[in-house]
Amino acid sequence: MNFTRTTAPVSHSRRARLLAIASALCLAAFEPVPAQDIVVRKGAGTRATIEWTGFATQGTGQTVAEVAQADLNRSGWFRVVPTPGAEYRVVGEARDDGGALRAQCTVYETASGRAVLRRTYSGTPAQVRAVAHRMADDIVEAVTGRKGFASAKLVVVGNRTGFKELYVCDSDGHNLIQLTHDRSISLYPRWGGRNEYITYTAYLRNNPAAYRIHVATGQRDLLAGFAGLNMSPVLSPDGRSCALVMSREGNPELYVQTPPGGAATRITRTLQAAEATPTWSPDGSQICFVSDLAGRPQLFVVSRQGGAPRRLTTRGVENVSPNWGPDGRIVYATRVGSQYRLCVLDPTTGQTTPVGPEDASYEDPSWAPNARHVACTRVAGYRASICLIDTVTGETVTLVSGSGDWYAPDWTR
Amino acid sequence: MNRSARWMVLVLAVALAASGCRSRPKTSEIGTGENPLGITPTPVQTGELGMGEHPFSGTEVHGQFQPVYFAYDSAAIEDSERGKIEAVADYLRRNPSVKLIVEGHCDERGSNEYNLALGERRALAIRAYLVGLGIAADRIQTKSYGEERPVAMGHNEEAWRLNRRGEFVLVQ
Repeated sequence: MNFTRTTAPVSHSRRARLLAIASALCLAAFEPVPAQDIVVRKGAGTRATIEWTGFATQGTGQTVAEVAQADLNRSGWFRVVPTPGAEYRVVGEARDDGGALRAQCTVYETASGRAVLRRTYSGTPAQVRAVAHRMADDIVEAVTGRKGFASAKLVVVGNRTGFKELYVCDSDGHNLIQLTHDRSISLYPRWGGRNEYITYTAYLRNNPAAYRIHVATGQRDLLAGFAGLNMSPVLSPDGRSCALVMSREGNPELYVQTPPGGAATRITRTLQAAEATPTWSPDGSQICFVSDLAGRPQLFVVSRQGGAPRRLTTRGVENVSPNWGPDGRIVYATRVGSQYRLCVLDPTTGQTTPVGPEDASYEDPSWAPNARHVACTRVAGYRASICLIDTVTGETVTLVSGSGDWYAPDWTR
Repeated sequence: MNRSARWMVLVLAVALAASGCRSRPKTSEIGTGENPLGITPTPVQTGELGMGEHPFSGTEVHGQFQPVYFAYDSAAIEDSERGKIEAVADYLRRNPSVKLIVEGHCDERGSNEYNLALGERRALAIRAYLVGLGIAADRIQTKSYGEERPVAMGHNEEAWRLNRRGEFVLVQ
């Protein structure tokens, strides 16, 4: 079957507002200096102490030190200490000299005295937080060999205007920018296509339709706006296909469009069931999704070519909102009483592990690029905020809260 | 007496009879006896009725018909709700130029996106029932709001019951 590609009727003013956001999202242009990286692998769950006592700052450079230290504490790998004698030592400076921000850091392993990272950064004072995040990620990677997530960004849904709109923010919740101004209902944003796009569901016309925003230009395309339901569009890892749920043939089913917005292939055929929230495997060969084929919503997996879906979750009355991580594990929300708790599933073994706290309802998880931290919606007392959970230690911090409710975070990867 | 008035009388009569006999289960009030329209619905599977390319547009009339209520996590039409849908079928039969949007809604519990799909299933189940009563499928489209448009704002069983619903919007 062939579906026609359509372009959304985006007004000029709407596009202009999206464009203004796009420039603010552009990352700083750095001049990284190749370092003689000596990779020291630390075990997850243990934190190395790192001292930041030999780091000179001037002007906005002070922010570099503060933000990078907070990033290191949030990374799960380090504990920043104020006194000498730590396992690692950061020496360097960050200066804001008349409109140009320059920073430089060297990280020493105290025991051996060796430098494990030596790097310089430059940018404008407005990019001070981006410089700090980059420095923190470089330190994490130099010491642990693992990717950091300080430079990653989140897209979230917020309702502080009285309407659910999309917002983008940094990994620490700062630089919160409103992306859409549609006064409609915007839902389930997902980054895709090497973080060039955000796909989401919105009621811009009459019924829920699937859209794709090109972040750099602010251009928005309608991916699917057929009668009935069009929702949960998610781009494949290569950005060339889009999984989504549509009801145009009379029942909500999972489809794959290639290219996004183009011809769609139906993947499921469940006349007595509803599908939702597809998520792609890292290699793009499989799609995990929610279906209530077995009565209550559970996780299934299917080849992107179609075929018989395989049920992944058998325990728990209700398992929803899967997010397939870069290391192949799936994080999802399982119902416990009247709340949700996060679980991690290894689809190769079928083993599931509960993660994070149980003091509130934790929903809509999204893996950070390090495949260790998860951002999710935390609902407590009927208020929703965005929090970050370290799935190794269970440590949880709030990223975005207040001024209304915040939902459905998704990380750039 | 037209069909609608005849149906109302029948419903009233059944309701009065039921209220006078408290041991009778409430769900037997409407729908389990004689079909008020005199039409037996043909069972139609929701997935057998394509929805078409373009959503309806036009002047919308809300609130003319009673909402259809659903059980938790269910898109099955309860016996008690069938009369409400049959009233809509009767109206559509008498007003052949009018089109219908069936809205599907859910309570606040559960995943937002799953609720969007569940709300769509509820709207589609009502649509299939209307088609089974002889209304042309191309006159009826669906629109799911999931949990985004509650009518009852509480966080309790009664609010949830009122929010798990299908609503009828006439398009002229």
